[in-house]
Amino acid sequence: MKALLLKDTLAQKPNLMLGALYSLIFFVAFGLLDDAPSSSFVYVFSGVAVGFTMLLGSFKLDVNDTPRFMFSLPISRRTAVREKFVLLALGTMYGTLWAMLFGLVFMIPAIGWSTGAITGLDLLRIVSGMMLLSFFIPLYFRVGHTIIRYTLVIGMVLLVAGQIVGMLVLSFRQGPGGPIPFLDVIFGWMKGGGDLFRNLLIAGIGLGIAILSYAASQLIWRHRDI
Amino acid sequence: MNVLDVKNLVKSYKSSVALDGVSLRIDEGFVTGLVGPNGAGKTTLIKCILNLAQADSGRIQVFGMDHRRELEVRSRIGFVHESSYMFDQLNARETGTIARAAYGRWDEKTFAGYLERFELPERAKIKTYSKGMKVRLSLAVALSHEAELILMDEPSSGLDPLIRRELLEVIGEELAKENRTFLISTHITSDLDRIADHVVILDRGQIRLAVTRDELGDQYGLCRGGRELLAMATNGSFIGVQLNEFGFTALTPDREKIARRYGDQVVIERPTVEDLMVHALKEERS
Repeated sequence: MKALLLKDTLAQKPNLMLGALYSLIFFVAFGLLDDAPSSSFVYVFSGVAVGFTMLLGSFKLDVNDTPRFMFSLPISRRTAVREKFVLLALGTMYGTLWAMLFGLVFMIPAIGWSTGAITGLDLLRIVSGMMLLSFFIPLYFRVGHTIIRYTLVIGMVLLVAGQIVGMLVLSFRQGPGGPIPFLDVIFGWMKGGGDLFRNLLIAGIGLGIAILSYAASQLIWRHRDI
Repeated sequence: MNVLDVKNLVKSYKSSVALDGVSLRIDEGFVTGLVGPNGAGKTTLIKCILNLAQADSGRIQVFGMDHRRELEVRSRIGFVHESSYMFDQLNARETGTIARAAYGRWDEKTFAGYLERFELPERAKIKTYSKGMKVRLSLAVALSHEAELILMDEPSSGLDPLIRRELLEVIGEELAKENRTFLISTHITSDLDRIADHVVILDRGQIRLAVTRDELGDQYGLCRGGRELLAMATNGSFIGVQLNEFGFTALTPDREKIARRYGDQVVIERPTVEDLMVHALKEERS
């Protein structure tokens, strides 16, 4: 595990530096425009984005058949899977810490900008985001980093398309009894639970995805030729 | 002591069979050369030993253990490989740091000694290294943790003669130490003439011939003679007959018998590993 983490951090020194920069840019771009709500977005986005960037960077290190060198060392396949999850968690923590640091700096009154402090709910959102994105790990073990890159591009397109479709769907929905009544039930149920409930629900879904991703990764990587 | 014991190993990929019932035993303290043309299955065999590739059937035991006990087995193996397996973003020092974290018996002094001996700049990124430098770095890593079995996968492919000679020198020095065993896969057979105790010829996933250095020198012979001798030859006397304008060239597994039978009608020389490979494969394919 230590050797894998060392490999991922030593080979990703530029990403580590960028991690700090991301948080700063996000704060300047979003967190300082308003107060607490925007800061909250920056904390969550910085933590998750930096963790995910570290994970993608780790996938990308596989060019030139480098895993053949790594796995000629005494490192088990089981450990290799665990390391990806640990890396995602450490990267997320690293990004969050930078965001918190910049948040504290911008809270100094003399600077003249005001940001909100990170909240427990933000931390929950960060962990949820991290767990939701862990589904890329089995995908990587199954198809490799090149296809992951294409998947990301397609995913972004689908995300935008999904938002457009969603907005269209919502525009059709004119109050209770509209064309898609079951959505009202779902939205109503989620709204009724409050902010904490919604975030716990997402965290639960994230946890489910993370557990499935871990199990699938172990299964895939155990039988894969390197 | 038996270091490596491979039995009836079968490995196939989607469209081809890479290893087709390979059995091989390597004893401690010997150099075994694994030769064969490109695509013979040499790299696949080494990948299976390291559990980088998983066999369809068969058994591999390394140091008496199942090879799938990755931690115990790999901690006693050094792997010298093609230059492309290294992380280009890192330097030699960082590569050593990673290896040190993985191996329990890492010897930093030995590693630093090899870096100096091989004139590898510690702080330069590996992407600035030549192919030869990358192979030397791979050798430095493989020899810095007291590995008992060193697997070399085409280490000298594409290297200049000076570096290849250096590689052989290092292998010679390592052999003088206790418990060192080498399995060297290559298609540059001239390297093996100098150091191999055993030669195994692999082709199309099967072992075609396995001989010891003594057998190669004492029993096998490269024969040259007139074509009329071929008509008189009994089955199995000549292997991989090549006809030319002067007569024929062939390998024999029993040089004394041929010498007795044909006297000065035939010229018999000590075959090189390349002769062995060329004629054994020709026989197999004819």
